[in-house]
Amino acid sequence: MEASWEINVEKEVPEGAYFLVGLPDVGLVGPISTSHLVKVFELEEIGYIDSPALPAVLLFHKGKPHFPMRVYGGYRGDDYILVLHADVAVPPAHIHELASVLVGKAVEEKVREIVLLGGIAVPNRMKIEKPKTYIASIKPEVMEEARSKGIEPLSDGFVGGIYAQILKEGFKRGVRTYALLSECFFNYPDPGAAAATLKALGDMIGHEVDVKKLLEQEEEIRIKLREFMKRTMEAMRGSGKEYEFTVPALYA
Amino acid sequence: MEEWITRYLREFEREFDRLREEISRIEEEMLRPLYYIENGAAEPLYEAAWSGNELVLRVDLAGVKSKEDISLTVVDGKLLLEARLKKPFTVGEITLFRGKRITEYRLEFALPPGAVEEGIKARFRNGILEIRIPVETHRVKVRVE
Repeated sequence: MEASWEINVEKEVPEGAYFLVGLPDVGLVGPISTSHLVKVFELEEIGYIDSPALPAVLLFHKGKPHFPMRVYGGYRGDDYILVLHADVAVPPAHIHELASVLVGKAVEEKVREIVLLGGIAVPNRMKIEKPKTYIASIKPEVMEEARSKGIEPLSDGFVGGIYAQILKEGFKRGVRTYALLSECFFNYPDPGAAAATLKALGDMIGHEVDVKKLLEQEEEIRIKLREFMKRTMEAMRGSGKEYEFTVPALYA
Repeated sequence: MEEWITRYLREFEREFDRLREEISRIEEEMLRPLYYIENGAAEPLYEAAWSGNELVLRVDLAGVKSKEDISLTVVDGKLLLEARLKKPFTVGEITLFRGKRITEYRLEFALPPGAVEEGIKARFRNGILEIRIPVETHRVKVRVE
């Protein structure tokens, strides 16, 4: 059944903003990235997204209530950075609706580009010191631009879940959209992968993100986000993510 | 039906039942809460996967300093993992956990049928404990005609 989605942004977003998205997925790379980014870029909470499709929860932090899916914004130099951060996973049945609503909002706000921050699970992650970051986009020129900045384009396989749908919607509506996906653990919060994704983001948008604190707090983040990771994995069943471990028929 | 076919089909059924039970057991364990707050222990996140004849568990022991802080024993067909954190942590100001300190990880994992307890090996690296459990399976060669 379709659910309605409400996007409420209280401040005016200037034309040409970077729209950065951190939604829960493998390794929680998205929300760890956006949570850190909001702190180091000192962005302000300017709105929320709500829907009956989301779990009926409200967060409290230092006595202040927060929606579980929040919008932040602020300037970095001359550029406006708009961030969507979520502390709850998107139920698989509502991925298509949210992707459509989000890209619709991006078109309305005339954003410069949508950047999806996330991870791609690899089985040998425990042996990898510095995770590699891949770019995924439907536009070949975006992939080439990333390659020139040292970010490897994803060459084979599936991208699954909400990010795949946002990539498709972005393409259909002519919004420059790409995902920065770092090698990560499937089932464990992965701040190391988030740091790699943020480094690639800095290279793409020209605003370096200081990840020192993120790496210093790596263990603490891994411990504290265990429950969130577990809820995300439960919620993600049937999201299309399982396809990322599948060989597409195209290559057979 | 020829007797050998019936026998092979039974073997297949047994193997499928075993796999089905194993999957339900892992799912059931995944749905348990992660904290045993009263005794200051937290259940670590872990994943289980088959690799040939071994069941491989990878357990996230973030906050554990070295292998000396890890105890792994087999008790009555269950693998018991206890690991001391280098410093206790609090979950935050969430009401249920307020003032509670977590000092160790604790995980009980029921070994699958056929597990060779003496052959279990473990390795701790980058905060992840990898446990390899050899499992003897009964194999029957099926004639292909």
